[in-house]
Amino acid sequence: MAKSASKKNGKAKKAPGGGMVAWVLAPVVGFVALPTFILLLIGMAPTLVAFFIMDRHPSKYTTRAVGYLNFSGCLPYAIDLWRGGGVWEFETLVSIISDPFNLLVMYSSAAVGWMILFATPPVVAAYLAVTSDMRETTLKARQKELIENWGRNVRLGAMGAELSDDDDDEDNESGQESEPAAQLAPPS
Amino acid sequence: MANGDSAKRVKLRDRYEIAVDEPLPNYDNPPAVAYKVRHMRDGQRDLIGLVCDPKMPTRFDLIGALSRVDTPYLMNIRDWGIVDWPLEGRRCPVFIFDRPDGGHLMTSLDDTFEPLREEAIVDLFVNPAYQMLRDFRDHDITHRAIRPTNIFTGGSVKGRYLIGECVTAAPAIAQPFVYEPIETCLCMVAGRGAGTIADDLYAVGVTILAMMTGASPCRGMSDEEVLDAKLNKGSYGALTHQTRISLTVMEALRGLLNDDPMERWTVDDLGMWANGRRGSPIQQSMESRAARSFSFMDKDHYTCRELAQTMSANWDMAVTVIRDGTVDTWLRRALGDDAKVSAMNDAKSVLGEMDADDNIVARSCIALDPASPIRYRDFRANPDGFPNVLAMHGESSGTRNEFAQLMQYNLIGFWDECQPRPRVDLVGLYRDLRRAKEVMTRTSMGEGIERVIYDLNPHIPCKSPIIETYYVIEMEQLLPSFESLAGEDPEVRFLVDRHIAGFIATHFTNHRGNEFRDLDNQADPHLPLLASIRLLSNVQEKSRRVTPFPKLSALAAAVLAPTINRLHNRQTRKSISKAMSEAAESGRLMEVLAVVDNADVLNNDERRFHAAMQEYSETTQRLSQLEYDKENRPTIARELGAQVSSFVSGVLTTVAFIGIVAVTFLF
Repeated sequence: MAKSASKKNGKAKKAPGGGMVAWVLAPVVGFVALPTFILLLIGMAPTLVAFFIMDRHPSKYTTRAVGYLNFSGCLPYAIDLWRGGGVWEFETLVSIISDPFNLLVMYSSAAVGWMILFATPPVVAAYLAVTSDMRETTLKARQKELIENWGRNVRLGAMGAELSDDDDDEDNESGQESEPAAQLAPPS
Repeated sequence: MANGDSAKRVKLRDRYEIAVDEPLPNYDNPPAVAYKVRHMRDGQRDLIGLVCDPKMPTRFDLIGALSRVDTPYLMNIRDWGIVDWPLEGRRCPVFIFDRPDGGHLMTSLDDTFEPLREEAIVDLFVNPAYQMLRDFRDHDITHRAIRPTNIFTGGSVKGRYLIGECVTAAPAIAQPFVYEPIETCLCMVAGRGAGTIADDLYAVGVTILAMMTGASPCRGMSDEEVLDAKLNKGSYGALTHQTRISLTVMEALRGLLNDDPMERWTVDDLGMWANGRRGSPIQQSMESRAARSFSFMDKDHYTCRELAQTMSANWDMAVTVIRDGTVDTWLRRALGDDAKVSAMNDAKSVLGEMDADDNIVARSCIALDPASPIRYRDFRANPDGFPNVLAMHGESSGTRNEFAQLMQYNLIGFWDECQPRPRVDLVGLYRDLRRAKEVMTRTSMGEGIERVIYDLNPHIPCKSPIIETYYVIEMEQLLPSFESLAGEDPEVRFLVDRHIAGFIATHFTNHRGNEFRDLDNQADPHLPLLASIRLLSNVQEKSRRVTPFPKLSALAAAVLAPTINRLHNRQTRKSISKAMSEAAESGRLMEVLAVVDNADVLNNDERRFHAAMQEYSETTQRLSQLEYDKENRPTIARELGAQVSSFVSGVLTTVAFIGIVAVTFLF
C-alpha cells in the first residue's frame, strides 16, 4: 500500500514536470522544425480541440483516440515536407496546407478517430451486459449449490449471523437469495 | 425370563403354564391374585400362582432366605418370575406355590368359625408357627403376614395348619390393625417396615385369640377404636375384652401380646409353651400413668404415648403446649418421670435453623414415646419402613419434602438416641440413610430422590413411565425391556429419564463416565441424546455377555438422528444416516455411537463448512460488485469505451504508420 501510494505520488509529481519539459521543448522543436510544427498545428487542430475543449479525463483517452489517427493522417504530408527540402521548407508547407484535399485527408483521419470514439461505448456496454449476466448466473448457481450442500447456515455464517439449529428450510432460502447481495459488503 | 405365548396360557421359564382363565379366588392373598398353574413336565403337581400387584413393592429380598427355610408349615415358594400378564397388559411378578390342601381358616376377618380347643390350637397352629418362626429367626427374616385370612386349614403334614406366603407384598402391608403391635399401628401402612420377629409373635398371639374365640378380636371396631383401646387398656386388655380365657392360654397371650417388645415372649418361649412347659402369666406391661391428666385438644391424657399420639394428630396445635412448658410441668409434677423431662429438654434444645416448629414437635413426640415410629407431619414410619414409604409414595411431593426435612433435622439420630437399647440391627440402615441425605441434595440426573428410592430399595422395579410396564428389577432386564419397547413403540424418542438414571446409578455401580452430567446439559441439545445412548451402550458392553439388541439399536439411531444435524454437509449427513442404519443392524449401540459421534468426521465437516462460508462470502461480494457495475454500466461503458477506442486508434495508427513508411521509403 505504501509503495503504491508513493508510486501514485511520484506519478502525480512527474506529470507536471513532464508537461513543463514539453512546454519548454515544444518552442525549441517548433523553432528548429517550424514548418513541420505549423503543419501539425494546422493538421491536428481536431486533436487540439479534443485536448483543450472536449477531453476532461485525466488519462486523455479522447485525445489519444483522435490524436493517433489524426497524426496518421498528417504523417504523409510531414514526410512530403521533410523530403521536399528539409525542415525549413515553407513553400512545400504552403502548398500542402493550401490544398483543401490535403486538409480533408488530415481532418478525415481525425473524424475516423471520433467515429471510433463514439461507436465503441455501446459495443462495450453490450459486451459488459452479456458478460455480467453470465457471471451473475454462475455466481448465483454456485451460491445455490453451496446452500444445497451446506444448508442455509452457510449463508448465515457468511453474513456473520448466528447459525440456525434448523437449516433445512430451503423454500425460505430460495426466497432470500438476493438478500445477501444487498446486505453484504457494499462496493467500495 | 418368561414369555406369554397366548392369551389364556402364560408360560414361566418354559416350565409352568399359568392359566389366565382359571382364577382361584379361594387362594388370593390381596393384593396378589391366585391362578391355576400347570407344571409342563409333571402334570401331577398341583400348583397355584400368585400374581402380584406390579405397583406394590414385593419382597424379592426374602426369596434367597426362604429357599433355605425348610418347614412344611409354610407355604413356600416353588419358583418365581416375571411374566407378560395379559389381564394387566404389562409384565407382573408371579410366585409359584404348591396348592394348599384346605382353604383359608377365615376368608374375611368378619367371618366366624367354630372355636378351637386349646390342644387343637397348640397342635394345629402354634407348633407349626413355632417351627416356622424359629427358622425365620435363624435366617434373620420376618413373616409379617400372620393372620387367620392367611392360614390354610389341612396342611400337608398331620393335618396341621399351613401358614400362608409372605413375599407377594411389602411387609405387613395387608395386616389389619388388630394383628399389629401398637408401634406399627401408629405408622402409615407403608412405613411399618419388616420389623422384628417380636411383631410376628404378636400376630401369633392375636391369631391364637381368634382361634380360641372363633372370630377375629375387636370385630366390628374401626381402626381408630382399636388403636384407642390398645392405647388405653394395653393390647391384652383391648383384644381379650371380656373373653373367658383359660390360665394356660392366658399365659401365652400375656406373653405374646405384651406391648413392650423387650418383655414380649420370644420364639423359644413360644416353643416351650407349645411343648407343654407352663409358668405363671406375666403381668401386662403398661406404660406409667400420670397422677393427673394432661388436657390437650379436649382430651385427657394419662400416658406419654397417648399425648404423643394426640400431638402428632394435631401437629400445628402441639407446638404451643411444647414451647410454653406445660408439657414439661406435667411430666415433672404429674408423671414424675425425670428421664422423660430430660428427653423433652433435649428435644427442645435445638439452635438456629433447626429451631423450627415441625422439628420441635417431631422431636417432642419421639421424646415422649421413643418406641413409636418417627412422626413428621403426615410422614409416620419406623426407620426400617422408610425405604418402603419412598418406594410407594416417593412420587408424592409431600412425602418427599417431609422425608427430606426429617433427614435434614436428623430425627433418625434423635430417635436412635432416645431408644432404651442400641438398635444394632439398624446400623446398616442408618448408614444408607445418611448417604441418602447427601444424594438427595444433589439435583443432577442419577441423583436426587429417584436415586435414593433405588438405593434404599434395591429390589423394586424401575418406576420410569418409559419402561414401568416391563417390571425391570435388575440391570440384566433393562436393555431387553428397551428392546421390547423399541419393537412396540418405535416412535419413542426419550430413553433416559430421572428414574432410569437413578436406577442405573444404583445398579450399575462400576459406571464412571460423564454421561449423567451430559444428560443434564442444557446448552447443547445433542449432548443429552448422545449421553443417554452412551449410557445404555455402556450397560450393554459391560454386561457379562454382550447381547445384540437390533430393535433398540434402530431406535437409538432414530433417537440420535437429530445429532446428525451437527454436521453441515448434506451429503455427509446422508452418508452418516445410512451408516447409522447399517450399524444398527449389528445390535450394538456402541457401533451406532461410533458412526454418529466420530470426532474426525465432525472436525473435517466443520473445517469444510468454514471454507464454504468463506466462498459464499466471496461470491456474495462479487455479486454485489456486479450489481454495482450494472447500475453504473453507462459510465463504465463510456470509460471503458474511451480506453478501447484509444487502443483501437493506436492500433490503426500503428498499421497506418507502417504502411506510410513502407510506401514512402520502400517504393
